[in-house]
Amino acid sequence: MQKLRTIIVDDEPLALRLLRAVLNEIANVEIIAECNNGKQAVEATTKLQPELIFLDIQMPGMNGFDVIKSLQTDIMPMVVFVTAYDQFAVDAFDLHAVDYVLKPLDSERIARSIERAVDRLKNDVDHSFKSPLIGAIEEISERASQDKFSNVTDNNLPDGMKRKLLVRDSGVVKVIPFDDIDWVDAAGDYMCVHAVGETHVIRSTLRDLLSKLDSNLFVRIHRSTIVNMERVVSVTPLQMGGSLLHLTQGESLKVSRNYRDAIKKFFK
Amino acid sequence: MADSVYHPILNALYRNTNVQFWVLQLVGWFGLSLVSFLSLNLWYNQQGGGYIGHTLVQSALGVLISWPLRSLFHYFWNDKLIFRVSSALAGIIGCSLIWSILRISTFMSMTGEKDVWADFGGWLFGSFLVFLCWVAFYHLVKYYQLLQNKHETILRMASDAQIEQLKRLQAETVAREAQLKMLRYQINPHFLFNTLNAISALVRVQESSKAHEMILQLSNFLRYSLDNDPIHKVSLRQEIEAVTQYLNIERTRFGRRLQLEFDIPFDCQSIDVPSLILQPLVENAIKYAIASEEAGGTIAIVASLKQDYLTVDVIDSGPGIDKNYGIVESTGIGLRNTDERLRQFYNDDYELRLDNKLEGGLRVRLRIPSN
Repeated sequence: MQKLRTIIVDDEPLALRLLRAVLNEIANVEIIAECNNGKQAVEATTKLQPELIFLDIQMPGMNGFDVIKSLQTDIMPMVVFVTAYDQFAVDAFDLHAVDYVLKPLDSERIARSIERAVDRLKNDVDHSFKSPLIGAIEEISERASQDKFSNVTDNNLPDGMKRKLLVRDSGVVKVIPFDDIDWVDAAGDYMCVHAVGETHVIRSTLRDLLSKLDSNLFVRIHRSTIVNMERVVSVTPLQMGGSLLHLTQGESLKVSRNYRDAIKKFFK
Repeated sequence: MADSVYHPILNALYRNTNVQFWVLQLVGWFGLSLVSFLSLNLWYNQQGGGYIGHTLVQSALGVLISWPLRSLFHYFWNDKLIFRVSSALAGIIGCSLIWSILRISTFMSMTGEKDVWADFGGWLFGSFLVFLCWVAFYHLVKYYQLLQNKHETILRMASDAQIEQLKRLQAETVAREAQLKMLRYQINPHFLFNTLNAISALVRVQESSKAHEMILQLSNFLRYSLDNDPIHKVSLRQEIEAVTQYLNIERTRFGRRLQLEFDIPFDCQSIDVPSLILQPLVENAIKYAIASEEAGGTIAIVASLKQDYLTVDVIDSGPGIDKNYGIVESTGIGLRNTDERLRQFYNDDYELRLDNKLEGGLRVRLRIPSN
């Protein structure tokens, strides 16, 4: 039987040990990496492309939610959040059918999460795992900010503003010039806009956003990913025909075989 | 009772005993002349201005003659009963004699009647009754006023006591709320569940002595939080021991990411501090300098004693605070609680200040009287 390739992430060494001990007793799990923080988790996930990740939410630097936001939709593994106590988050996870386990860890509960992941891997052909995650994370941050700002649309903006994107972050509206965008990925009803090291979540579709962006600069590299080609510093070819793009901010993005040609054009 | 409720004249009538005396004096005496006009002048059919004039004159005389009685009673008011009764009796007899003599002489001169002196006994008897009534009435009013005053005083005292009690209740509520907040703060669910998870890990990997140690530390810490009333003081040594239990738990959780340094000189250890006062400061340091930093950091607790003041510094290697924001915005509810509690204990005789260190990190300084 195929084992679930799994990454576990927690900043507390003992918590990581417990997670490893519990998962080691489950036959169809193979731990392929252990990470102590969010940054390592993003790197390991991009490099190893696991099927499942156990992700602690409270971590220094990048927390669990930041990890999700900065991972490319197209390589997003299934996620089980690990949290000690956060009623807000737990409600949002339930609502968006996002899996989570509570600390102290219960091995039976974790075994059920694994069964569920195996089921999803079999039945969910789309593998669109990022959309419900972003939905839950957005809901949590909206509740946390509590400010009820009206939805901002960019339809009636003066011309100078149309070259910019308006995003709402924790109740604050930020203006992002299109040129600042490094890459964008779609997750269901949401778009994650990655600009100057930050990730902003907006409600929009990839098609809608593509029509606004400069097509000489922004290129589709995967079903759900657009990248600003000016940010690419190097390319690593992968087996099976794909490749990895390395960006100025240190991120790595996977290029699908199907979009290979679009990229080649740029490097001629 | 607000004085301004009444018209000034009514108000004077209500409050001022001099005004009350003169109103009653005039109403009483000229009421008497009205009665004597109706009963004597009309009954005996005594026509002529002299008779009617005389009733007015004798009332005026009564007003003047009874006037000194008031001073007499004031003078003897606080004396023994025997002096008061005998002085009153002497006053009544003296006044009735004078009034009778003056009444008869004015009566004879105003009406021209003769041989009235033969009826002196009858006139004196009437006078005696009038002054007896005057004195009785005077005392009645006087005692009524005293009773009224006493009643008002009691009411005022009762309302004062009520206000006092209300204030005390409010103060108690504030203290209790602080205690509840402290407890909720102490038993931070994140801390508790993460610690239990760490213990679970130690059990799972069969490091039972470490697990046992951590369970004891957690128990000691919880017991200290629950047993110690935040309105009491404990020695700095006890407070540091409790904080150490907490920090040791966190060190087990965070591993090498948490470094600790203590410098508590011996002469500081017996000084009393509000119980659980250091806890929020240390918890803040953990939150900002350890839990949020991938590389971890150091927390140092340094005490010193100088000129009757104890200084305790909680120093961390975290990012420090943004000076553009106040204590509350940059560190949350924890330090505001600490500030409120210190104010309750020391009024304004304390210091709680935050400084960014030059080499990075935050120093929270607590300075309180050492006695």
